[in-house]
Amino acid sequence: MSRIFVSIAAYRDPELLPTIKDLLTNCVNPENLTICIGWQHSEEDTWDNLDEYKNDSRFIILDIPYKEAKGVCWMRAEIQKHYTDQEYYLQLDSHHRFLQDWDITLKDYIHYLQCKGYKKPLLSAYVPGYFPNNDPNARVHEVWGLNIDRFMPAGAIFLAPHHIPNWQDHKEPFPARFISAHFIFTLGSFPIEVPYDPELYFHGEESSLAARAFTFGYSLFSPHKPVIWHEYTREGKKKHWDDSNDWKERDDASYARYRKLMGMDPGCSSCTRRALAPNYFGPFETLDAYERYAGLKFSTRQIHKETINNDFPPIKGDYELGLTDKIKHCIDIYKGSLIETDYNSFAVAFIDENGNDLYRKDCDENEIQSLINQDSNDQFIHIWREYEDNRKAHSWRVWPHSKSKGWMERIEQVIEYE
Amino acid sequence: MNNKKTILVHLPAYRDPELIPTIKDALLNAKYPKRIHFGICRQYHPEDGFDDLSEFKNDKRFKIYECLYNEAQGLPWARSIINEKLLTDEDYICQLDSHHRFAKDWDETLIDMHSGLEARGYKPILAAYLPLYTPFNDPGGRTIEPWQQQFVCFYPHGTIFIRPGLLTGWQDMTEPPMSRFLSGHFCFARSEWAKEIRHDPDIYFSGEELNLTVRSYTHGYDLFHPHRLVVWHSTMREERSGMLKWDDDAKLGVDWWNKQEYARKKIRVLLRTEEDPNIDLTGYDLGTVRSLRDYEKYAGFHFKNMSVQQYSLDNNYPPNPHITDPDLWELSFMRSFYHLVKLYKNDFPHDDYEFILMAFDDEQGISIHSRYLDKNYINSVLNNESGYFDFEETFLITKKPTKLVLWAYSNERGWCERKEEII
Repeated sequence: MSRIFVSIAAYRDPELLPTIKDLLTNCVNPENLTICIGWQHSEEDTWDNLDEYKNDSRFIILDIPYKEAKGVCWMRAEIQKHYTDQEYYLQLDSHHRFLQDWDITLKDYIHYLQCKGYKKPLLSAYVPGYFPNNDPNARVHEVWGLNIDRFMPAGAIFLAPHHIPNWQDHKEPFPARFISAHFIFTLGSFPIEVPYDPELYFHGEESSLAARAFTFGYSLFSPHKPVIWHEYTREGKKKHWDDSNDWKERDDASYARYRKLMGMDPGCSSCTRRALAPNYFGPFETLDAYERYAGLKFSTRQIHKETINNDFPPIKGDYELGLTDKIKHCIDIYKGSLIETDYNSFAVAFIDENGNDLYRKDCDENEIQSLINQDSNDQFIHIWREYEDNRKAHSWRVWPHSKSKGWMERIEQVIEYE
Repeated sequence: MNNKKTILVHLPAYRDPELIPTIKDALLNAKYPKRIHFGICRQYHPEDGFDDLSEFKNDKRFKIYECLYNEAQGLPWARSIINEKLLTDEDYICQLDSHHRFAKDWDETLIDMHSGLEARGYKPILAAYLPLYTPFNDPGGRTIEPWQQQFVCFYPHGTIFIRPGLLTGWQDMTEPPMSRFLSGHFCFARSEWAKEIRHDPDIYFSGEELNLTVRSYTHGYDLFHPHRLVVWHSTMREERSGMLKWDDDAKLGVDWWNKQEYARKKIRVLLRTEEDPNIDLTGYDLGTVRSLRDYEKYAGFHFKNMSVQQYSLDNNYPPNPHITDPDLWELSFMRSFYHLVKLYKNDFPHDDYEFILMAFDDEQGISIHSRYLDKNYINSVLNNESGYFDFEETFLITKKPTKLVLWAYSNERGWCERKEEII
């Protein structure tokens, strides 16, 4: 037998029904699926009626009025409680399309890796995109790798997909550093051994899950071919944080928990961990082994050169020597404070407590124009800066210069670390 | 017990002093000794005396074929005599050698184990590399854990080197785990198996087990390891030193080498890795219930490439995880890796080396393959006029080595000259 438990967390999503239909249509053995839907819905919505599946024994529908929803990690943790003994576990969002025979293909990849000696393979990826209004024509035919974009000031790792050059030449799944929550396919032991942490909110979910899975002996891989597609843009669609009043508190609590569990706060992290979540990490590998595999270090927020280069894990060169202090920061400036029309340069600097520059890279006229024109609905401009330094910047400073009026008032802000 | 089922105990005995103790122990420990029949091919030397079966001659349970040792034609031949001339209407066959000991109620245990598997829809054969007993120290010298048949490597001629290893996890097992191989010296099955899968007298000892394995599997039989201690076996190498078949053959001047070569060729034809119109497999060919590829997928072997999946090398029980995509399946094997190793006298100028370690490492310096070149070898290849020697080193990999390290050791100087080459 090879039954698959499918976890679908849906939040007021018009794509839920098309996703279920596409999942079933393209499956070789739909009778072997147990589909558990975290159905976070509103009476006002007309698009996600699940009546046709209510008496279908393959479906478990968790009926959650959207006002009672507590975030996606909570939802996924609730869904996992309904896992019983299926051989495989598939975790999705609620906006996807599927390759024909996706179930056989994914099982083949898992079996292939097992035949090569990986006892517990786990497939995950930022799968390529599709567009509901133009499908299947607009599907992206590429595969992406999963990589770290930066440590956020609040601590959590922000992930980003990266392009795999010549992906068509890959003949087998390639090793991955991280897990993407919108697509996980692995053994049925996963929800039992590495259950979802309902107290995480959004950021941090994927990087902590990867580290935890690794310590439980899972080998992380990404499929070398597109098997599942995901809708990324989701413009105008409701998200939990649009409806919730307390999402900010949840989000802050989530960051704090993440820092404690991942050993980013000073003090004894294993004591903290024992008190907070005793079985967070597994018995087969240490968190340190994961950091050495993935090429990063939580406590110092460092990233390895090979990781930055998107080389496949594990790290091949020296771990300690390769760690770099990559800093990536986004400076947000309220558009209302930029009243002139003829700026020709911004002096942009990160400075220490004494006002000395640590790093400076100015905006020229072109960059300023593109920043201002980027999104007319956005009240802020976003200046991204990336550099390497092991000193923490105290604050950033932007000093606009106008062609007609010269240097304007400086804008400064202290960076809040946690 | 299943109403009056009978078992034929299959005993090919070649000048074996343990034959009679084996028979007596089987009867003593059987729950239903009246239902235990014996099929014995006694290949005897008139002067031995220890294997005289006259006390059983009037016992209806005994069916005996006797021949002089110098008329014997090898083990598969003796086995085929038993199965084709002595096996009649018994329900089960218990194929053994002729030197064994038995657990109490072994007959009932084996039938129950077999029936349990049949009830689950299998066509089972229980097969084991049996744990050992020592004739001169029994039962004290018995091994007290069950073993399994493990893959070691492919022989250059295309068959597989199989050896015993612990039946990992046996204490927690509630049912027999599946096996990649049959065993010559212990198989328990329905007697139809012995009638359907005939012993090929051409397959002279080596390769016999692989031959029976692929033929049984492709005829639809399912292979299992017994997960309990039921029967013991003795190697008998010391006890019968000088009296074994190959010893006698050597004395008689039998062309053992040619027989062996023919047997190997016949197995390669059976495994479809060689074609030879002069070899006739009629009566001894593969079955049609399953294909040879089905067996290869089940066991994790690729006969044509002589390669194996890591899953099998790690001794995980079969079936191996099923890969439907043929290209992906081909890719899932360890690959042969060749490297031309170059030795220069200039790099190793001294004459005091005990050995040179040759290690192929991955990018993290973890060894993928290594071996020692010993003193005699080094001296014989490096002390020539050119001061240079090369040879091809071949081994199985899942991961390509990136570096070759040659590191000499001398008793006087310890680890000394070292040379690295990036591959």
